[in-house]
Amino acid sequence: MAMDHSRRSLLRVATLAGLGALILPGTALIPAARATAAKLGPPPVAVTVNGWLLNSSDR
Amino acid sequence: MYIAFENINEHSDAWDVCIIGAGAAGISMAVTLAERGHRVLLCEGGDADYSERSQECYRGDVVGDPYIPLYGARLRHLGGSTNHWGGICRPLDRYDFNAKAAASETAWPIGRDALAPYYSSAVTMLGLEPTPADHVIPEAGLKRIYFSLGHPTRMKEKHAATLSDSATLACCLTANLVALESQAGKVTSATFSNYRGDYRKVQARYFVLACGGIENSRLLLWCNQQLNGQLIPQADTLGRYWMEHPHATVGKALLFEPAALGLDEDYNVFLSPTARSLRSRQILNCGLRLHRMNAEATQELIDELAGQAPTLAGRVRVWQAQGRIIHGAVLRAAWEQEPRYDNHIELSDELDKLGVPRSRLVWRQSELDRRTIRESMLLLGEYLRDHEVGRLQLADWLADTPVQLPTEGELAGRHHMGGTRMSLNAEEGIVNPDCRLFAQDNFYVAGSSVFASAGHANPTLTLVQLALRLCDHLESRLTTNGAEAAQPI
Repeated sequence: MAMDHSRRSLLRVATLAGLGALILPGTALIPAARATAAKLGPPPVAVTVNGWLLNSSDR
Repeated sequence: MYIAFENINEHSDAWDVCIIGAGAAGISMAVTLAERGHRVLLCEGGDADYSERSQECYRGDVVGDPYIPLYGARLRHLGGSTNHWGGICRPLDRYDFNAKAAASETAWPIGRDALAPYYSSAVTMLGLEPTPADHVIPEAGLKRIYFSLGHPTRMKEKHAATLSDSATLACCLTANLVALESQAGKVTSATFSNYRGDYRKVQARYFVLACGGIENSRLLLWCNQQLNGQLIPQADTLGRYWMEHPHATVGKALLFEPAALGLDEDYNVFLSPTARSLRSRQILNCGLRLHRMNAEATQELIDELAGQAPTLAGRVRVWQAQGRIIHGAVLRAAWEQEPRYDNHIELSDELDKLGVPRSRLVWRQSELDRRTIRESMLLLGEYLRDHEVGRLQLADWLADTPVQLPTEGELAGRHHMGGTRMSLNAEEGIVNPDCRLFAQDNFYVAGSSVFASAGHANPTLTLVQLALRLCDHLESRLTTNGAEAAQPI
């Protein structure tokens, strides 16, 4: 069956996207991963000092 | 109308209902029943205004934890303690009527649905503003709650016209209950004395004792003693399960995101743990009130924080420089006290001028009472910290365990509850769910003394709801039993 114009366009887009995923270096994702990790971070340590309910980082 | 003591009608068919005590409960009932055409005698032990000869009867002892002197914790004249109350009201929470996880004794034999039909009429009776619905603060374990504020209605003034003009209501001042007579499970008469030593014996179809959260116990203890237990044969719980709302300043808070709590120019925000928090923390109910500090006090609090948390205080100052609003707040609290058999009213050996033994209050706060306030504050403090809404500082006396309660300051709310506890049976309480003495067919108790548990909300609205519910009950009995068309007194 001959492909019409729109089906051909879709196939081209899908092929390029697949190639992009293959050639994108894994390291390119590392900064984003690091950013996420920094955002979550280790849970803050709760401390009570002189009646104040604080995080250790407050000090 | 007002009648003189010597003119009290002693005839057996004179009164449908004799109400003893003219405070919030007594006046609410007298006005309501009289407006429905029933013949009501309202007996008030005090005078129209404050008098030392009446107030002196309120002297009594306190044993246990520091408490407000009984003499000054209530008022003994027409209108009762509504003559000095602050008018702060809110209904009890629905879960206040249930057995709480931390103390099953908090269960009432009735639910909030039994009182809900009387909410609007109680609000009107007390001249209050209806309160908005509570709303839960997401992820806090707390809810924002509301009180009716700023309407301290003086009952004797609000209902002055009915008290003086009603054709079916007679109000007698200086009529002090000194004895009851009972026969075959019915109270046949109540004996009153004035300050000159004159006596009048009143007969009525129904009697209602409405003398307040201490006097109801005291007078029933005395009358029951005179009748050798005939009035209340199972009196083991009489005067027992007495409760207050402990009050204190419990800490301070510095709020970086005051809008999260709704702290605005209104200054006052009320918070309370959710039902789930009460379960998970194994505590009773608690009301926390945040009073917004002025700018100077807020700066002092930031300086104080800097001593313990300089990094955070530095950030706060930067935020302030950037124009962010930072609020300091003082935290005050009123919390629910565990209903305990040991906390009670008893008769002392000393008699007042009317020959009635004075009250002795035996009152202590339990470990659960202490845990309730500490855990409520930790709940708020952890929410503020973990969601970067602010930071909380516990008051010195709350910071360490075991909690050492304050021995001066507010101490409590002057909310006297329990003593004639409502229950399903005579072994566990003094009145049944209709507020009637178990052993007497025609004798009822009105007021916060019937509370099975206290929640944290000021009790006046609830006790008036109960009083109006009792009016409907009496109305039903009066009309069913063939009564009484309204005849002018």
